[in-house]
Amino acid sequence: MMAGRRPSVSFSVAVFAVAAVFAVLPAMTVSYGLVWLFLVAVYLTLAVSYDIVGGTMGHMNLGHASFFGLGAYSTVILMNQGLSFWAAVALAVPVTVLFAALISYPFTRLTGAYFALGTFGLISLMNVLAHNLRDLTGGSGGISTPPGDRTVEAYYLAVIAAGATIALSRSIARSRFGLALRSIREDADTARAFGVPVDLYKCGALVISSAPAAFIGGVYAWKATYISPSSVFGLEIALSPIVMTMLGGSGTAAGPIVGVVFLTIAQELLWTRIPYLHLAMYGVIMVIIGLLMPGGIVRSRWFRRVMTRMGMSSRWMD
Amino acid sequence: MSVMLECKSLSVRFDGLAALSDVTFRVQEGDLFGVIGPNGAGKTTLFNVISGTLRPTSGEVYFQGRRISGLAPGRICRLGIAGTFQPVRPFASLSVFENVLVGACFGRDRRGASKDSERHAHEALRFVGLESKADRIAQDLTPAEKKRLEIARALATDPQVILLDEVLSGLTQVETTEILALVRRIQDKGITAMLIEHVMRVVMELCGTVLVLHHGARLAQGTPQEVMNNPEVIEAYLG
Repeated sequence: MMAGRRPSVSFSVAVFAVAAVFAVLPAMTVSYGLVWLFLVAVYLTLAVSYDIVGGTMGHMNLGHASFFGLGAYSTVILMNQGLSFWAAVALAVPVTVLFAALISYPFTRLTGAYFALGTFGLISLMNVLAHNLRDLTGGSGGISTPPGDRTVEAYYLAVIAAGATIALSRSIARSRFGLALRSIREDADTARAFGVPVDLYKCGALVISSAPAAFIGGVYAWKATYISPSSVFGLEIALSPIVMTMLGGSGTAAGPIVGVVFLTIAQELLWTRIPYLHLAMYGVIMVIIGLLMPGGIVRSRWFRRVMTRMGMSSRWMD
Repeated sequence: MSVMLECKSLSVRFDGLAALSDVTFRVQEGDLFGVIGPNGAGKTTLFNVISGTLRPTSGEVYFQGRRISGLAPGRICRLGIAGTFQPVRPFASLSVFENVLVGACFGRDRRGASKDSERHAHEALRFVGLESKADRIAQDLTPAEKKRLEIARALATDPQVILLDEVLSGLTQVETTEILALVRRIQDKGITAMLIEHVMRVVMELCGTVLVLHHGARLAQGTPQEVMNNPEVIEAYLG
């Protein structure tokens, strides 16, 4: 809705090329590569949906993974009741969205560090519940779906989910709703004084961001065929997408995407090339990015210059 | 001339400290209504009560005969009262255009077509002379431009009353003259303006009516001439 500059042709071509590559990959790559790309798509979905609240609205939701885990558990539990995956995930998403709606009002009262810590506590709560509601969740031993190899189907679903989440986040950014979220990020009281329905939109943003996370949680569980409290409510899945988003450039359209792609590639190269020190090197890379590009990779000058030359609209980098 | 805004025995207390006590006045339609007083007199508190960001401890505010005290600030904005802040509070990382667009999208009466928001935002920017800076990030503007931006954001809500809180403070002589001309043009549009100001010359020149606050209470009200010759006012300012 803002000044209507269209993305250049070369950029649209690049998007189609990427999509085409993703579509034919399963026919060409070994299954390891496919599993890796599946995880990239899962992280992309989580990072981009996280950034609707974390970047656009400026509320760091450290508990975003609780939606992922709830979606995963709901899907598995429903599948074990005899539902097909599709029926299960079609119920798991509304269940999670309802949960998000219920917690949204009390949690969006909080701002800044209070919001971040409050939502982080949500994951611990879910973790405790998953451990203790044994009849439902299998406790710390986890829970399995009916067996099956769904690598290729899950790969396609995850890639589609990631693409749809990016499209969703873009359309929000261009809407009045997105403008309102950014005004809330800058100064909620001033936004309120100018008629922005601050409380309603804050809840709305949290609820919307929960849906992609819940869906990808269901897909993740379906593919893994087994989940446990530590695999869906663990620190890795909770913090990685957020760290990737921040290093990529939180609040920009390309930021979460660049962050996820860059850091997953870095992770992969490091642990295959530097067997003992890969985690230390990963940490060093993150520190270096943080030092040299405090606003994230996308906001750095060289990245903007390179991407602008390649025809990317500046809209993706603001 | 009809009464645009009326405050009836407004009082605001913060933990026993009276920021406003029993303030009553009327603002006529089309007037440029000045509010003056020493620091801590309650001028900004008064504006906050009118705009709804602060609830009065007692007393009421009426806008065109309708009671607005107790309504949400966004509601009051849509009814037709918008303002600027001191110190300025633009949405720092948003563009100048987006800042004004927030006012045009959310601060206007809903009956207007939403498609017109962008046009209203452009009009407001043109009116204050910031059109060429529409794509700039708000925090990169000069202090004078930020004041203009705040005025544009308020104007984009299509207000009937505009609250201008020290729009001239910290400006150079030239900038002051320009903003003064802008304030006159706002008045020419038929918008009733309330102005908090420290520069006496400005108040004397511009305002039709002046309200003097002192320690939260109404000290005097009248034409600039009457107020300036009021012995109590002279006492408060010089003593």
